[in-house]
Amino acid sequence: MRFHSVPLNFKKGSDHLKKNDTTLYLCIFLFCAAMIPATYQFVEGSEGYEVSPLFWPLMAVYLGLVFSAIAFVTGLKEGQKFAPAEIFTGIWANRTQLVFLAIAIIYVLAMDYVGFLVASLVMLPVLLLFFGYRKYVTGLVISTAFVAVVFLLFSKVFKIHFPTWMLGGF
Amino acid sequence: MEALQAVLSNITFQNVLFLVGGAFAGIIGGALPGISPSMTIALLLPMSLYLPPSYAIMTLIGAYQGAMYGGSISAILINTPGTASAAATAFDGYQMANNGKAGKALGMALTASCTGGLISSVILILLAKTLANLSIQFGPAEYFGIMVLALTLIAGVCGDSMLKGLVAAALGLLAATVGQDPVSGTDRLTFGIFDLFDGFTMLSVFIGVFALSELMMQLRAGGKVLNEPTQLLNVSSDRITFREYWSQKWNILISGIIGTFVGVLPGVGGSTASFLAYAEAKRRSKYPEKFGTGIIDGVAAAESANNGVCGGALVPMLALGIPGDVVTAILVGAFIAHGLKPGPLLFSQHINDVYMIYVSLILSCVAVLILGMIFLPLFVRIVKIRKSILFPCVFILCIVGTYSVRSNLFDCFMMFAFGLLGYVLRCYKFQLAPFIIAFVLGPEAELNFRLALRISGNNYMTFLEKPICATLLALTLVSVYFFAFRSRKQKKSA
Amino acid sequence: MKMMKKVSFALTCALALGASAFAADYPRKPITMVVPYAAGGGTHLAAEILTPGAEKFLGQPLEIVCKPGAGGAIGATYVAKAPKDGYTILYSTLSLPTAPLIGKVGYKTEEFVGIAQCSDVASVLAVRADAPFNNAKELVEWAKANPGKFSWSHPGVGSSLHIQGANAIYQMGIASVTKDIPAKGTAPGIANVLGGHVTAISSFFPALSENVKAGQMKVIGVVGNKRLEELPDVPTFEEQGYPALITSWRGVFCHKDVPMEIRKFLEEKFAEIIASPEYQERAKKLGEPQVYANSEEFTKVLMKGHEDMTELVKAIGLAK
Repeated sequence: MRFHSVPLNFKKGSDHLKKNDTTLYLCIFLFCAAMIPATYQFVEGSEGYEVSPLFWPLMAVYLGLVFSAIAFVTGLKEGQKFAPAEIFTGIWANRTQLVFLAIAIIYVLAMDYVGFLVASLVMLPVLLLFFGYRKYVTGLVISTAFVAVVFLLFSKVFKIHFPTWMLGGF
Repeated sequence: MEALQAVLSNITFQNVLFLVGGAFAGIIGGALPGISPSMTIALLLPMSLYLPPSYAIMTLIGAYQGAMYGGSISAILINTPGTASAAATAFDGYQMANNGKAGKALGMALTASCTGGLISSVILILLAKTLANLSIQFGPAEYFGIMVLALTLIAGVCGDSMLKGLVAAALGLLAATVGQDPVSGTDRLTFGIFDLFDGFTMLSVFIGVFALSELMMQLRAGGKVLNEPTQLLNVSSDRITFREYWSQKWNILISGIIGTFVGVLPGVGGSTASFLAYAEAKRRSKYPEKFGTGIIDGVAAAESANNGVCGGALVPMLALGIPGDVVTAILVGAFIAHGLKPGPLLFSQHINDVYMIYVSLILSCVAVLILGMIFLPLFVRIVKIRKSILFPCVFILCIVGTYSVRSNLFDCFMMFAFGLLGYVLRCYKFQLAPFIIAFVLGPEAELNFRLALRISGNNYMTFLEKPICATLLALTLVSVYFFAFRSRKQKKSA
Repeated sequence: MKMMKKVSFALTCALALGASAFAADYPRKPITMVVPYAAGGGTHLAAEILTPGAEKFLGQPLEIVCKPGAGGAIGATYVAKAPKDGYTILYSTLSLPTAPLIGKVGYKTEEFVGIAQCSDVASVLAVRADAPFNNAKELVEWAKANPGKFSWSHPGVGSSLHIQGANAIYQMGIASVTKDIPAKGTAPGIANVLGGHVTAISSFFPALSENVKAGQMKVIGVVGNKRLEELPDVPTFEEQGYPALITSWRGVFCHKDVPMEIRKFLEEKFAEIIASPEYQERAKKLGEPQVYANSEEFTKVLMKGHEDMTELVKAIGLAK
């Protein structure tokens, strides 16, 4: 794990690898702060109701603000450094995961156009490669078999309708 | 004696055959993510309409118990709860599988499920009417009391850092508010996105936060490591022993009772029950810090509770004709289609059918146990598949499962978003449990809070005036004190 | 621009030709009927009984897909946006005209046209047996004498039972002194009434029939135009002087842009399915009151629903 870590703290009951959580707390704090106007914008308070629909989301947001602020301050006190640049190094360090997500999103978007079967038959071998499986032919065989089984099981037995091939008009 | 004879006459060979068939179908339906117990039963329903009532009842109840157990299989093996009620099982179950104890975890889940089911069946048989009358006393104010009590248990599952847990819980509460406001019907925080009108789909959130985040964590190891064939561990030691089972007896008993009582309350179901039982087991335990790292206590508590819901949900259904959860609602439809009208008159007019239901409940536990034991070695093999093959397949299953809930691709995007969130939280060593519990229980608490106020005409004192609610709130204060006290004690000894 | 117009004109002709040629051999593949409610729920089950043996009449199997959410709007939007080739139809309820009035949805009520009505369900307003009133008039008196004490439960804002219950309450003129309490379904609502937490519940009769039989609850009135078979002694609200006539109907719809021949075909065939004895039997077992209306009439029902709902929704305060 290549994260910026502060030397091990041997107090019992505390985190082992002290990370700079402060960045995260700040992000959460900012997120909650942004949610306040968002809440007012996207929730319609209504008259005639005792407790407004606004109450609960606002409560959650304020709790988030308070707790993340406390955590931020506590983190600073415990000697963690606050380094906003960490956001960028963090993203770069996790690029594999982000690529994975990107592929996944494309896969689901494509499903709407090419249908579940085609999309999955393409996607699964790609994923196998991504996760490190090197036997290409076996990989193709396994993917085809697995996609077929899952498809048959869910569509025939459980009667789920999957997206189908939509390109090329009717 | 007559009653006993009537009971025994229900155990015929064909009945049992259908029971086993139903249980088998239920286990499969439960194990597959995205196929909820209610969906499984709904699918068996048309088939059961062609059968005479006794076979139909056996099949459906067998499927019910099977499905509640089945969810634990995928929760343990691939960190993907097969049903919403198996989410709590994933906390410890998957860790056990990671530690090479998949067989133990599966065995514990199986035995705890069956025992929990038996416990709730016994409670049902002995106390149906009393419990039903008691459950009626629970109105919105009382439900709110229960939910608040349950929410304080979050403090118990926070792990090392209470602050992190609280932040996660706040996020969970916020996430739960997205959707249609339960009282006024206007939409909240949907940002105009139509598919969010009903809020985040629970299973999308679970599968995303558990399974997808796990996939992303595993990616850290890199392709080389994932591609290594798994070491064949010592298979024979990877089994649940009787002693281990027996060591959990109180845990299973209490969790089963919790599950039954939660099931009795209409509108609250398996996931609430298993979280409550899990958190309560942790609170009671002598080694609470081990929960979440992979101990059988966690698995036992969660599974016993979620099968306990089966018997519990049948209490209001049989005694009052009110289904206790989604599945019993479908069962009511099935019973009506067979000429059985569940309701207060059922006991006096159709006592034989009631006996049949009791018998099928008890036998289904046995059937699930046997089926589970037969197939357990097969399930364990799944862990032996090398990760570079297993995980991509799990991914496809996650997509299919998430999609199946509403036949809506948007849910898959939801799952991705929560997967990312879960991953980020895990990277920073947050516990997922507080987030999930707040997400599940928050809306219940809010709804009942507002309804109670609405009914009482905005009278905040209503929570203290109602005896049951006041008791529950007092218990909440006790529990909060308990936690604060205990954590201070721990800090002192540290 | 001129080029564009020519091209689009040519395309339209081609499509129209294609569509009509297409219609001639309809259906060539299974027909999908979208049910915009949760699998296993009442509407889903009611739709399911149309499917066994539908192949005999339609020539292709009828398959059901559940797309729940947003009070029926997600499924309806899906059908509205699907290709208008007659292979995607909708099975819906009173929620179809109601949803667009309550929130932003992806379709307009006018986009749909009825194919066949399958049922029409009246609801009841029921209270605990020991309530101090036995009929609508006494209820009105009691509610006015005890403002704020009368509360009634329904399974969710915007649901047909909410609308039907509100219809009765508004007709009785006690809306300002009563409160509606949404619950998560009918079952918790019944439990709340039995436990005395809520005064009344708006529900379909089968859900509480046993409780009424056992003497735990009693029915104040029926929201609909005639008395229920199972309750010959309970008058409708109209008979009691408060014309609350909104009933929850269910039936098959398709988009209005589907070619006429296909719509006619569907109308004929569904009429046959519904008239068939097997369907009748299945419906009876399920407890669905059979009311049939053909395409034209059902479309009228839909539009009338739209009008009624516009008014009522405004009155309840849910209008957008």
